[in-house]
Amino acid sequence: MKKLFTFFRTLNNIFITAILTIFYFLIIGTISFFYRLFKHEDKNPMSFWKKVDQLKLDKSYFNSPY
Amino acid sequence: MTILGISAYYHDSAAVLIEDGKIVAAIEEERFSRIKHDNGFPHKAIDFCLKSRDLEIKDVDYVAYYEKPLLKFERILENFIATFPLSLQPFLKGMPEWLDYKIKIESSIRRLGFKNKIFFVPHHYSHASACFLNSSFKESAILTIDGVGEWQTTGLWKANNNKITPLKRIDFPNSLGLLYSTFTAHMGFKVNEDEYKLMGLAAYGKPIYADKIRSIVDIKPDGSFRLNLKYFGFREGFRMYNNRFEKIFGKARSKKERIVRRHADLAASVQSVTEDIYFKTLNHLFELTGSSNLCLSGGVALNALANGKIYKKTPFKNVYIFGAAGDSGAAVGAALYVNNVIMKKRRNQPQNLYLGSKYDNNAIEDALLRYNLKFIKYDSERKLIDRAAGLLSKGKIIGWFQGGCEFGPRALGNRSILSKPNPKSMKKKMNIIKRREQFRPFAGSILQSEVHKYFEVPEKNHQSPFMTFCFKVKKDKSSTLASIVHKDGTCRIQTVNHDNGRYFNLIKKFFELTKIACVMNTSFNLKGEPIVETPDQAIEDFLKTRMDALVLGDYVVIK
Repeated sequence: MKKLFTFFRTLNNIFITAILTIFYFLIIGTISFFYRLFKHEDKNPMSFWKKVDQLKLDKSYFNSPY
Repeated sequence: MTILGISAYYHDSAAVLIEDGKIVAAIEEERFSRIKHDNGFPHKAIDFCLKSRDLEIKDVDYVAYYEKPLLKFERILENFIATFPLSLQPFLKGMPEWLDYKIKIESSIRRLGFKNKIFFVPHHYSHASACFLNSSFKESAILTIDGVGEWQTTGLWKANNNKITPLKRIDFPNSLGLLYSTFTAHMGFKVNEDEYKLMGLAAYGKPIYADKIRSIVDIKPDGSFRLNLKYFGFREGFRMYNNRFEKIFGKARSKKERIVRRHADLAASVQSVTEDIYFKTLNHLFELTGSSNLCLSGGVALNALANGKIYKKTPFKNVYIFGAAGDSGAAVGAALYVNNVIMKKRRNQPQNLYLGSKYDNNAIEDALLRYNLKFIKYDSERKLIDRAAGLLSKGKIIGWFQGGCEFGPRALGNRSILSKPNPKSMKKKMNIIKRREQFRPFAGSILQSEVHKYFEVPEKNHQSPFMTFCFKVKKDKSSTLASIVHKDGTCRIQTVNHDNGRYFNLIKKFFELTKIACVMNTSFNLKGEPIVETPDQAIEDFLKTRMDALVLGDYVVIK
């Protein structure tokens, strides 16, 4: 029984790894291609500080996990 | 109004309970799980907080979580995209964890049976609140600085009464915390745990690599900076540094390798660059806010060596650093933010950090009997203090276990190992008891009324209650404090006054006996362990080591 459980757990892990690998190369890889195409960075700005957007201090912002 | 603050899933998970704006309980999960810097969901810590006030989860009005998990997940996904195809391994390891539970923090909280509102306070907002809302300042400048929150790694803020306003920020991957951690890893120490070892080692070296570090970190006069990511590995994999980094700074030290001059020079160099960025940033913050008050929070704010120089290197006059400046303290910050900013409740007075579990005499006596130890019970505090101070004055090393355990990384005299601060050999003895490296220094607890006589502090009776500052020891006191003066002539200090209760009385008595107002204080734990939480754990550490005596509540055990 224990061996069977280990077998299925290993099979499950292999399955998850395979799905994630496919996702990584197909989806992440494709997005990465466009990301690099459009991502530009200021080469040598005077300062690296970013100005902050002032948050709207309403409760709903803080109720969201995003 | 009752608010439960939670931090979890990065490091130092913790829970805190706030009742009508007052922190009534706070503890890290590691104290119960005995896993140092435990990052799991803090079930036991939550349980402790509720039980300590005879509450159930349904009695809690709000839960405040210390970050926005989906925003953090966004950063992690974008990082995988930016580092494709090098980040396959961390993707395969990290994704199941994220999808399984890290992303579903709301479900974890609901599973506790909680039905009311949950607030998700951004990570650096939590840090900013933890320091400012615990301080006595009505207005202040704030610097939050750590490894990384959701995106943010550094934040400049201005605060006034119940309003905390962000001014500027730096985002991942540019992080002073991660720069320091990269050198920590390169030195063979543990990331997010051993950074203070690097800080201790810095005193033995010279900053001869500082220019090389500056060649991979672009630092602007206003303190903003950008890491040259070609030399770092933390975005792509599990190593903080990469081969290019090793070409510049030499091969990384393995854990068991001897520490040599080069390692100390590297530590001194990264400390020097860190301080350079730190003080430039603080001076810029002063220009922006014009406030003479400063609050600091985030893991980097635990760099006591840099903190001690703030008074000389910046125009700030009053500096407050919350004792739990790291991620455990962010749970406090999130809860206070909900109470004071969102709910607009009045701020409370600053408090001490003895917010954890307490054990009464019955529990202590039961533990002593379980271990078959001979003990003496003192009926009066005066007699107990006389005995303990007498032992210290004779050069004995004692385990000191009293009242509620401290919240945050420092032992502040309730779960401490104590000794006389001289002769120099006491340091070696203590390092053997603690089973730790000889280069590491010890802190001192000193009567606040005497602090200016021993240390170069900014003012008479200077208050530094949380061991977050190192100050130079006065030359005429360096032999008196021989075992706690570090190689660079500094010492990390905790000032002690009436608020510290029995611990204050102990040092006062020790002062009467020896004319020394300071004791050596180190946390009550052995290498790799969290600080002891129960009397049983204290007894076990006492029996395993060469401590001479153990003072548990009103009981004294002599070896």
